[in-house]
Amino acid sequence: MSRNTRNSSDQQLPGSVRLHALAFMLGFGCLLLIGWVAFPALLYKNTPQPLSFNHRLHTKIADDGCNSCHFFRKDGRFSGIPGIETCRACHTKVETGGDSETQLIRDYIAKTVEIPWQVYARQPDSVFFSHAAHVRSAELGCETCHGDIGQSAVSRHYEENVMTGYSRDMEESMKMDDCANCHEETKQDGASAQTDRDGCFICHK
Amino acid sequence: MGLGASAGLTLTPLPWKLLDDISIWTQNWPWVPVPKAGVVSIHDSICTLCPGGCGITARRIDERLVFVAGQENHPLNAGGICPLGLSGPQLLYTPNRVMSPMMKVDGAFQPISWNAAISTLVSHLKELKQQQLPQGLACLAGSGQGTVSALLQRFLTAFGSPNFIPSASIDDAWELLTGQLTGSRFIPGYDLERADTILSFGCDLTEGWGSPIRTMRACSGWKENGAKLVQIQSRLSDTAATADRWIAINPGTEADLALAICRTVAETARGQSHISAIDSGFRHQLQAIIKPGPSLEQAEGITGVDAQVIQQLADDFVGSKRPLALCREGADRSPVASREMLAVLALNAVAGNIDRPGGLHRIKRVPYINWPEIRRDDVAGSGWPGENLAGPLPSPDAFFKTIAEEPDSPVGILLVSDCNPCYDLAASDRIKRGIGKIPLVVSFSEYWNETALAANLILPNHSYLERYQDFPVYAGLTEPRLGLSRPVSKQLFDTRYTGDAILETARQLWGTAGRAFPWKTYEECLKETLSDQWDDLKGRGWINLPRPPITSDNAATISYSVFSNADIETSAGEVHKYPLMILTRSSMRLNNSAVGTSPFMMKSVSDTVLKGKKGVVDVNPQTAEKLNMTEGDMARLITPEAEAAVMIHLDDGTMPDTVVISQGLGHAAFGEYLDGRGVNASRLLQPVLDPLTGQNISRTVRARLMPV
Repeated sequence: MSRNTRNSSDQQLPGSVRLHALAFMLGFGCLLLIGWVAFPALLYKNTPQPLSFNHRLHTKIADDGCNSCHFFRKDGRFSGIPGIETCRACHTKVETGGDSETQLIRDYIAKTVEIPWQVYARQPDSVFFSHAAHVRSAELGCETCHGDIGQSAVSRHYEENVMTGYSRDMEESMKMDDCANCHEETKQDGASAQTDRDGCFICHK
Repeated sequence: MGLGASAGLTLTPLPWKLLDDISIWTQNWPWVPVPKAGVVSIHDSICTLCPGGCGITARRIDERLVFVAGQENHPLNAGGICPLGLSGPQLLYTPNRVMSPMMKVDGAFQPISWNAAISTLVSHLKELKQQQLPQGLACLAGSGQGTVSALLQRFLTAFGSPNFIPSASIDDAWELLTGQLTGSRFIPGYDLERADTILSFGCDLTEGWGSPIRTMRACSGWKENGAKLVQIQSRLSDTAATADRWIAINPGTEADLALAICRTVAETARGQSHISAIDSGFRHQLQAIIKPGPSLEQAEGITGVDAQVIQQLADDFVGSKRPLALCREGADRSPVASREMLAVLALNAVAGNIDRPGGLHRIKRVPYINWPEIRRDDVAGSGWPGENLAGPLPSPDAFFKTIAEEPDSPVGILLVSDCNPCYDLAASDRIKRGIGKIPLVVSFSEYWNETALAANLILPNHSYLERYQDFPVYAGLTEPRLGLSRPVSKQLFDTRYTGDAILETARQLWGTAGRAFPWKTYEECLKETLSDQWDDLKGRGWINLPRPPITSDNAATISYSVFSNADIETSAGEVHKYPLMILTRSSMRLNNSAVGTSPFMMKSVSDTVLKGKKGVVDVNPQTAEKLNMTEGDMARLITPEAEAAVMIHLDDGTMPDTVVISQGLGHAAFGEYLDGRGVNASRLLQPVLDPLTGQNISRTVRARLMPV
């Protein structure tokens, strides 16, 4: 009897292992899905931009390319996102008849209302970033930080982290570690917290 | 399954990302205010919070001012700024601003419209007129300079009142004295940057003397260039601590030391040759100043400074290439004793540094307000000014003395602009009682300061960051300037230019017939006054004023009897009853003016000055031992004028038998950051009017300390 029982147990063990393995894999797979698919979907809120902006078209047509709208002021400050007056300088009336242009003139230029752009690269309030130091002095191209946005034909949706309020673009390529890595690689001594004792206050005012 | 879930979880970004985001989330609480993002712009102006006239740069996000810094390319401060200047945004947005015209009804202030406020003032003025009492109108102004002050004075003249009483600055006192002394009115401009031996007679050079940032930069320059600074002061101040040599002197005897050095220098061949090179009129007066000065031995007895040290100071001073003696200033550049001022001027003269590089330059004030004289028939029915209630040398202290002496106030309406007499005049409790006797007190203050609280009607001015203001800057500069502050913030509240309030009152009083005030607005008045300089001033913020030549051969008579009064600054308290002497201390961290100290500055005040709400005084350990007191003890500080509870701090840098107290504390206004914190030093002082300038020169008072 005892022998039979022992034999029976020996035969059942592989089944139990299989069950445990199945449960393990199920849990493993579920959490992978949750972690990689559901969590990001829940974490980021997708918002369309108020207008779809065609960078590729504008950089071809505008006299001074990127600098026509994103320029340095006389005192070295960067203009950033252009205001409605910059748009008005070219768009006095509908020329292409496109939806975005019509909307631009009707809803914003005619009413002199600023376009509520969602800024992909907006840094947190605690950060001071100098475009002049990076573009003029270090001669970095826009795409180093902003990617190939200059070649985009439509405006992507803005993805906002619902916990932090930061944009996904900023989180993925413009966090403090990204700054620090670049500064270390390029040996910018004295220009970041990682390389200089008093470096905190260069970026954090 | 749980094991698998855990394993799966570790291979996803979820836990790490969640941890990171939670940490960021905790840094972004929704209730923490975050300024709105917007377009950054910068705007230059000049700071008018003290007479220094530094350039400032305001940063705005869209229309909102967020920061004030020193203007980088300004010739005076080159990017430097003091804590008060840095507090610009706090002074702009403070809830302590008077946000609309206010009228006191049954002891409580109520907001009223501008029309109602001006009508109230006009009806009271008409009443005075009907009673044939135009001299019942008086005005206390923060200074006698600038167009607002000139408009106020013009308004009083047009009304028929002589009672315009500006708070005199040390520059005004210098003009008066030098006019009498040399026949030509001038203000000293100190060539600090090029001097190589500097004798500072009690000047708080690192705590706001002259144009504060310019002076601090000069002090740094002296260290770099090897110039020698000798600080002559009764206590170990910050300036004394950083000087090359500190000479501890008996309080109030700086003039005696200066005169003793003068006499010693004048006896040398070099001194003689310097004196003989001076213009004849000035030379005659100079000799009359020096002659009654003490000998070395007498000076040792008076000042407590060894005769050999005085001799050495004289030798070093006259033997140096570019010597310069500096005269003390009172709080907010108020005058000090004329005896001390003249002694320091004489010392510079015998050292041969007048109008020389590194020396004392004679600067003549350049008038730029050239309005036509008021004619008697310009304003229908007006009287004509007679004698000022505050006497021939008017001062706010003399004014309140007159008010106190009369059973009924001879003044029916008092206008108060840009000053806070209920706080900063000596014996301020008496001032408050005096102001309470005046039927209508009208304040133009932009802040709820002590005098505004004591007023019946408030017509609030714009903040200094919201307005145009012409601002002549002398402040010991060798190149005086006319500055123009420009609005760097939009107007936040229902306030008006004081100039506009005056013009509107004049219009309502005299209608269009008021030819004395032809301007529609204050900005128009300012623009017309500055005429062809307006564009330069609006663009750059300042222009250099011309330096007219000085001639000094027509000296008037000056009474030298005052020079024998060695203890001019000591008030009447009996020495045996009040064995100690109070010395007041100014600090860059504490502001004594009508604007008050900002919350930001209060955070930087040391606990040896203010401990919680308790005012701290410095006492020498020997004195404390004699009084059986020790560090941290509470005591009653009693003067013939008032008493206050203070905390004792033992300090070896304080002379025995003296008590050092900070100015700028002990307010009864300005909200939680200032109200009731520390002791108002002015409350304890008694006014002492200088016989030559008529201004209060009281910085010390006798006192005693009693255990609580």
